[in-house]
Amino acid sequence: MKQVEFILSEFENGSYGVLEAINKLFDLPMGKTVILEQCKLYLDKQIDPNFDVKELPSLNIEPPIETGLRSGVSVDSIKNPQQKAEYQKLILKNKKQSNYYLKQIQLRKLLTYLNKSQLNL
Amino acid sequence: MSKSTYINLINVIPKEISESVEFWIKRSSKHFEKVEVPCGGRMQFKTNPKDGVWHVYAVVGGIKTETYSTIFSDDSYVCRIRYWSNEIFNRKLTKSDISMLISERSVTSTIDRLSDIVKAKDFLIFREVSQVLLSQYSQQQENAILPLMEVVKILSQGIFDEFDVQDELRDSIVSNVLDNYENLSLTEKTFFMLQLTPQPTPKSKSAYSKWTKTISKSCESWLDVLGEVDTDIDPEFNLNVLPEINFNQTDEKANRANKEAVKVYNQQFLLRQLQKRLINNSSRYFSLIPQVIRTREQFENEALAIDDQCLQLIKKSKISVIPEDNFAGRDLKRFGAGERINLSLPQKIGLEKEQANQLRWVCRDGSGYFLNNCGGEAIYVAGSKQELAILSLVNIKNPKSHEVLIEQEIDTAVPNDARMERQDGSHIMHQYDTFSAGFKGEIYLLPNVSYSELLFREGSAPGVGTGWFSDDTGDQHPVGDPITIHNNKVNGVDTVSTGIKHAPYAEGTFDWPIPWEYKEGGSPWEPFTIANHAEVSDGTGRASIEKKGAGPFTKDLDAPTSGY
Repeated sequence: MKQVEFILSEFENGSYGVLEAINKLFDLPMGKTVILEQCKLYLDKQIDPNFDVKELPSLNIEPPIETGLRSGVSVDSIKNPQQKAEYQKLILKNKKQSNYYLKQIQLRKLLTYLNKSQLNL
Repeated sequence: MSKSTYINLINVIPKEISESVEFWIKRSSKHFEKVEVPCGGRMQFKTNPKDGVWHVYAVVGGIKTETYSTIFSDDSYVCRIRYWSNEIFNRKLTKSDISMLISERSVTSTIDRLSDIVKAKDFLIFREVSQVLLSQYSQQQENAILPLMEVVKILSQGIFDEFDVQDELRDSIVSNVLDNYENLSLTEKTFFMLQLTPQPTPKSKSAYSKWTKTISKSCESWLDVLGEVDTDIDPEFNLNVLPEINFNQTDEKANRANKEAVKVYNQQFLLRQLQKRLINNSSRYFSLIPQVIRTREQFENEALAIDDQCLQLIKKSKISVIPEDNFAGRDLKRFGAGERINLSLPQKIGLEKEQANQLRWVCRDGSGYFLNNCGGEAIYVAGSKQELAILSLVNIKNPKSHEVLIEQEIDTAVPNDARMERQDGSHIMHQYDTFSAGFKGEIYLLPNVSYSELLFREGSAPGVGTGWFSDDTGDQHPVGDPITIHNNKVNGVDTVSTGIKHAPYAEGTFDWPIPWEYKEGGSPWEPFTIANHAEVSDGTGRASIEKKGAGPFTKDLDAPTSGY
């Protein structure tokens, strides 16, 4: 299960395309049925039914107003430690949302692929 | 110099024959010379006839064979006897035939003979010899006369003109070997798999779609072999640490330990190499799985010839090419990298299900692949690069001609530009009595096709400021997070702002030439355009901002405060 989870988590973050992920899964030294079963368990667990496709992540974040700096600027451009920490927090929050969004979209892509390619789950 | 020629004796040699065969060689119009040749042996002619023509026939059990004419021109010739053929009596090869072939137990000689058969491109004979020869390895190891890898090497060189024949050959060899490889060592098995299942070519891919049996057998075996390699690999073993060698030559115990350490090191090294090659090759092999949709038996049982009238109708028909992401305003003549495209024949052709099953799409040129490829319908998954893919619809029931019924071009595009638009319903940000402007932007990739299989991100770039913004020169734009794409729209909102700056104001400009990048799967990020975040200050506190076609949006100093 750990090997399947590892491949799927790499796929989730965009390291592999769908076909690459499928190939890597079937490279594992276990039967196809076992692999698909483990995929199913993983997808059931990880696909969030409450995922809202409209909650888009941001490409660039605005730093705290007091800094006067433009959106998307590097954290290192902020000298004030408090403002820097606040900006880092905002960036981290957006990163989390980006990763979550990416993961949910990728997993849905995999599910669609498995169904369309008749490797039905 | 020697020259080989073949004499077909099968029509006179009874199955049971195990003794020598008489050959009669016509020396002149009246004179025949008798030559006795032991089964599996050779005839050697030492005299060169003046007319250059020798007539050869054989007599077995008192019955004269047909006469064979052979032209010789040298002093010495070797006539190799071909025992295996089912041309006349439909006789199957037996193990004893093969034993005869390899009776000399000379690897070189046998390999020579196999090579001759391969060169002669006689598929029937080649297949039978392959099967019987390979079945030797399913027996006890001592019965295997030739080194397995030598045989496999020769067999895998059998290139026949028809790729269908080629795949059937591979099918028969792979099935035969994989059924019976329990006597092989792990290394032999691994090399065997690597040798017999090379990277599928576009041609063999299409033919493979019929041979489910081979595919599934091979896949199972890949998994078995990989599993065994994995089990034998010691994950704790560090290849970076070379075995410690004690060079005291007189110390027997130390010498034994040295040998053992080197052996273990070499074994672990080899296993890792094998694992790498196995994973590489098997991943290519497994990419065929989605294409396998029917078993060969099903295919053959259901086959019903498509008549000429239908074929003509198919040839004249227009293929429906509809992308799955068929969003409004998209370019329908081009398709994005990795995009899924539905191909189908018009319903009016009225093919029976069995007839339709004989139609398959093949990718003649291009890096994409098919899903659910059957009956003239398929999902083509476009390749990951810019290319003009050429897809052909073929009738696989007629593999000899593999006549192309229809050809369809798929122009595959990758993003080469983009535009930004201000988000619908959003406002221009400004704070009263400050230099400030900003907007929310949405990104659309161009050309206008679907890139849903790609990821997008902003790259890194240093800013360049002039005048009032001079101090901002060198401000780095960090690399952004990977963002998914829906159709041609990036699934993210960009916040583009000047920040909020106070008096005293002065003239100046700031440019941030941010590279926009895409990637497909595990491939590296590719920059495809520059999105310039541009700010202008006219010295009055008026702020102007634009990015990649969105804007410029301007806010005067005394404009009322507004959010996005």
